[in-house]
Amino acid sequence: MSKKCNAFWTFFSSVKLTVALFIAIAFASVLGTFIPQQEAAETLTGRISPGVIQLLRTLQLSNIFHSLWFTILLALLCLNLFVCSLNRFPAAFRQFSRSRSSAKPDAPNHPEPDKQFAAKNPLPITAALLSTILQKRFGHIEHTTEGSRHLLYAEKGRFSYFGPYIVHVGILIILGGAIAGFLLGFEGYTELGEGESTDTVYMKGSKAAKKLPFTIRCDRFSLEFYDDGTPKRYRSDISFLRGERLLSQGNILVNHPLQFEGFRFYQANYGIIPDSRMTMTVRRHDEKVAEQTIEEGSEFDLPGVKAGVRILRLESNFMNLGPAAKVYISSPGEDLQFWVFQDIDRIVQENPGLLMQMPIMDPGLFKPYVFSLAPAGSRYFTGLMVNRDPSLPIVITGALIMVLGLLGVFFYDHRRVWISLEDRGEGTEVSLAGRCNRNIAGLNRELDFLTEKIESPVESPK
Amino acid sequence: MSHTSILSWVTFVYFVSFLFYLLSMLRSEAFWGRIATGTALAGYVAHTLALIIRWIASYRLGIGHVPLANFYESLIFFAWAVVLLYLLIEWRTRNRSPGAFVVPCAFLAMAMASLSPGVDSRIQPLIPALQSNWLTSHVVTCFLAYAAFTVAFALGIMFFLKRGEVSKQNGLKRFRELIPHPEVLDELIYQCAVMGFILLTLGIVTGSVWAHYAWGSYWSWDPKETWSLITWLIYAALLHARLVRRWRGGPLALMAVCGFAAVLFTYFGVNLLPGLHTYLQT
Repeated sequence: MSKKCNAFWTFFSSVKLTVALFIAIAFASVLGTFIPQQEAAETLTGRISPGVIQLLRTLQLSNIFHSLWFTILLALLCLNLFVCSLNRFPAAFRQFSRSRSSAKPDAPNHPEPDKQFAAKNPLPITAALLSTILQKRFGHIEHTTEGSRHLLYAEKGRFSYFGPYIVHVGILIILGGAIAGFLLGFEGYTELGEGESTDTVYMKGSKAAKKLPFTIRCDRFSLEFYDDGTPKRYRSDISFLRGERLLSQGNILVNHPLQFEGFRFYQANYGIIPDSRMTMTVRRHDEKVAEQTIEEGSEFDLPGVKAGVRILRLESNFMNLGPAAKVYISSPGEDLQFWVFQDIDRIVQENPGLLMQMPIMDPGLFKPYVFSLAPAGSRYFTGLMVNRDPSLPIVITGALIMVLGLLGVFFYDHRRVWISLEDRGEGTEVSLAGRCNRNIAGLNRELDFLTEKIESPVESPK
Repeated sequence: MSHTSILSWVTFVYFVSFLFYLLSMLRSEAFWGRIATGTALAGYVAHTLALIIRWIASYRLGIGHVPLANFYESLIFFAWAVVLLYLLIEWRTRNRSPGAFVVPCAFLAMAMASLSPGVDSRIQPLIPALQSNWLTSHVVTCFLAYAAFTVAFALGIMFFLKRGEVSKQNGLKRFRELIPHPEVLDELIYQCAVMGFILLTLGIVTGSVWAHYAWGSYWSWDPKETWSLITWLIYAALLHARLVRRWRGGPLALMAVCGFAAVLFTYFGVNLLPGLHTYLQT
């Protein structure tokens, strides 16, 4: 049992495994960017052989990042991270708690000197100078005398032993938060025409309907452009309702989602709802007497006369002359049929005398009324992404911890310096030793700096 | 002079600076080295000015935004970051030899921006998806990271040149002698990788926050996101190899070169794949 456990422990505590998992995850990610994933995978149908598609599906290569085997890789990395950290933490803690050395040469961990030289300045001055400098640069210093010898010890950054563990804890929290988000959160989408409302959104992927605990209504969608035609702003004005009661209102822009009762709404898409209907306007001596949204078969009465209008046909492009409606007018005097073209002004301009030759194209045939046709106002719809992720604060915390830990790893270093000064009459005999846990270059710079300070000429007291 | 013509000149100046760095390596004369640094510095100052002028010009057009919003602007900023990083390293290490390897990278990015036919150098208004306060922090962190990885790559190439077989040609021998000691290169590669890694992490985090506001999801396996994760994993492997397994030198330099290939694909290659990050397409 214990042997098995040991084998397990050794396997999961190796950095080789970490690097192997890094490579495996990186390789899987490369595949994931080259093989079309999820919705994009469907575009492959018909372009490559069904056998290959079947293979991609079986190996879950069309949805790598949510596949079982990729999840297992991530889980292994988590386990590896956890075991590694647990395995190495006691050693780091021992280093942290025992590493504090002492100025005394017989203290544990006291190293052999790295540098020995004779300085010109007398001992008391050198000792006082070093004491000040070290105090300023290290914070913790120990200054003792042993007979004529001055012993100095300074250290800083002992906490840096914990840096890697802080980073690892941060990453575990991020991954934990991501899993929680995957299980507890959801991502949905809905499209709403201006003036429309809904309480249902459709889940990303499965397209399953999900009811929201309130109703959303799109009051208006607007878009703005720069002078050069580049889009400048997409904006949806949204109301939140419960039954008939207005709960809240707000607007959603790209980069500015709207939060309501734990749900976040994002501007994701927009479009125009095409409207096949047209608007027919009737004027009498330039005065508008009727305006009607029409479809094929619509009927309405003309005010002022006992005449009825019926739309016999509605064409989107009649005789290549654009949208047109065939109108039938029944009145006590006569029954009339003629065509009303949306672009009649342009048609007449291009074909002078047309109306004389073909009175059936004259929109003013039923005098004194003039008919005109215009497209019914089309509306925008807005595409909103709706999601909820209760684990977001966890992920943010993890990311902060990770970044702080990284700064701790690379900007803090356990740096220790031992200095022994011995009186040599006019000058001082100096021995200097330094140790660190990561940043050797930094330590060497520190020792060079101290050497320079010790050797620099000091103004002699008057 | 308009900012685009200044930038064309800067491209040329970087090329000249590269030639001077090369000359100083081949002839091992400090004089040419100083000229090279001077040229690079002059180009860098003009480059910075042009960026500021472009920024101001966008406000004059009434569509003011940081010049970080399209492919052209990203290339210009990338080159700017590479030169900045290089000049800092030259100043810190007092060694000019990386100039012959890093400055041409900046030159290539500039040349691509100025000469590539598909790259639109006009100032364009911000589309709704880019109208966010996160634009600056996300783009700056990501491109500084790319710049750090570029420098690490150039240092990796230097590492292999230094270690390679001794050549009979005298000029090349001297050239190699001027490349810093492999241990120094190793340390510099590591430091650049660390810097790039921290910045890339910040870039991914700020990008996630932005994606949360813009796309409604902090992570959606968009190709750019996925490739930045791949890059992140490669450099994470490099740092673990060095800090935990105590790898040094060759393997590390090799990983810096491989990591850079991933950076290039994240920057350019992803545009060929369909996805949400289409702002950089030309």
